[in-house]
Amino acid sequence: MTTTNETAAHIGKPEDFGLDPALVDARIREADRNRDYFMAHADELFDQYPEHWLLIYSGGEVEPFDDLAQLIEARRLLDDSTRGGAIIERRRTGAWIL
Amino acid sequence: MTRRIQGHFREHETPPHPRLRSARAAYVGVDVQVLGEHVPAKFLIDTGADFTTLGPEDAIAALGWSYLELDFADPTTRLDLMGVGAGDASATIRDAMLTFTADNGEKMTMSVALAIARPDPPTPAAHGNWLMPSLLGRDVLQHFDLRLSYHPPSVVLEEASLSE
Repeated sequence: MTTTNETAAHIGKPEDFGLDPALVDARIREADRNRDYFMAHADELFDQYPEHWLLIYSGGEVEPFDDLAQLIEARRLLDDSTRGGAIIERRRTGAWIL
Repeated sequence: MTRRIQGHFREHETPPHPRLRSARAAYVGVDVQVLGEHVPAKFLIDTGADFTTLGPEDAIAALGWSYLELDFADPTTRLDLMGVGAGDASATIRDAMLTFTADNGEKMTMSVALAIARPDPPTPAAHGNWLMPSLLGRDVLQHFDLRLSYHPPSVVLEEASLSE
């Protein structure tokens, strides 16, 4: 016995929830492109910028920031389509016990 | 046909202690829409988390400075959080939509009540919970079968099958 019939009803297409599917698709495609770039270059980026927040956009543009607040401002200035998929990365430090 | 969402592992880039050997952490990329804004967030898959929680870094990326002005004290939306770390953590709850991409390219959107973590310290910093990830909790994970393998490395959320 399961209750998945009930829970599965909450999953649908973007348009079922009032989202523009083309915009969602474009954002995700751009984010995937940026994430793929980051995953392929993570070691070298963190070696080069061990204490920075990194703003990654347009499939490989990387801007390092000492201050997250500065990054947020820079991200805000990107055009909508670029900003929608721009990702933020920072080297993980310490141990997480959540 | 069962849809699958591919996640990914990330290395622990800096060993936190010479006597500890950490395993890689499992993440999944999610498009988050909340309060009319959106962000491509990476969520740590956390079966220990009761609820899906947007961390400060992703929250400020989505909401900009208005994130810092959210009313985290409002008792109608306040959620107290407990963990091993320093106390007094809390969050505020907002309606949100999470969109995943299945391996066949289909988009899968879920409407959720999303916990947005209260920033601590209250402004962006390189310490405190600003360095914590967003968490994909059991409220969302219950919709999927989680398939996690370290050998070979694989992170998959498989849409839960319907049954009687």
